[in-house]
Amino acid sequence: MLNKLKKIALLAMAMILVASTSENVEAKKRLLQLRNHEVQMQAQMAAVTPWNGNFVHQAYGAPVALIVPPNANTSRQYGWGVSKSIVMPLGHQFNLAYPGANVSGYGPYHATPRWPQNSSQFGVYYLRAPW
Amino acid sequence: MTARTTVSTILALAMIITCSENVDAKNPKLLRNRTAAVNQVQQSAPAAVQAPSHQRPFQAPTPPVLFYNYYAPVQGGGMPAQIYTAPRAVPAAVGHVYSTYQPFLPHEFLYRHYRTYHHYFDGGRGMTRTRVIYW
Repeated sequence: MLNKLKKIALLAMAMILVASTSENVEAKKRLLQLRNHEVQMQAQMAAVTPWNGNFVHQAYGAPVALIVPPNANTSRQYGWGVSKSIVMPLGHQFNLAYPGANVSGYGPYHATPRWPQNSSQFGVYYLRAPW
Repeated sequence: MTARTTVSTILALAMIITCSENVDAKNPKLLRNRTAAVNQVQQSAPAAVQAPSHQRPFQAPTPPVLFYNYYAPVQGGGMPAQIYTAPRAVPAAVGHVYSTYQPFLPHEFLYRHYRTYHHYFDGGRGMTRTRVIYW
């Protein structure tokens, strides 16, 4: 009797194993498509928009990159007033492409206002670390 | 006897399902796709060389440089920046500060790594796959 129960238990475990494995593979495939789509959107966004905003950091006189994990998806900006706090997709990422010695086309940037209304005015912007 | 046969059948089935995960047909690491990818890069190379350096498409140095830096993207009009202050682009005679082991660079501690290494042998007919997960 005990032997039979053991066999039934083993059978159940095997069935669970089969079910869970195939489900995981299916879920992985679905998620992989979404992930590829997201990576593509991030790359497109990074190609046409600057990683920094329009303000410089007070201590450095230039926009400062706050390095976040590469799998971070969004950055938040907090501001006074209705609809001034926003969540933005985080498309830009450090990469290996050397920008060159003399790069133009950026700036000019503003100093932080005397009474800041938005967290983006402090000149610190998220930038994802490389993979 | 019947139960034993059933169990072994199911276990065999489970093994088959686990192993039948397909390798992506467009995987650039596959030998037959790699040749096409290399040809494509070589054909588009002259146009890329003529463009200004900051407008060139992403191109990793080959072979990979040991003490390389990472840079902020400037394609969209962003300010140029580098992730590490050293090594900087200075003459070779000037002193440098190196992180001597790339896997221990600070930014590698920010996320969990899932790496899969494919090794092809026998002219692409055989392949071993090694999966590594580490922090």
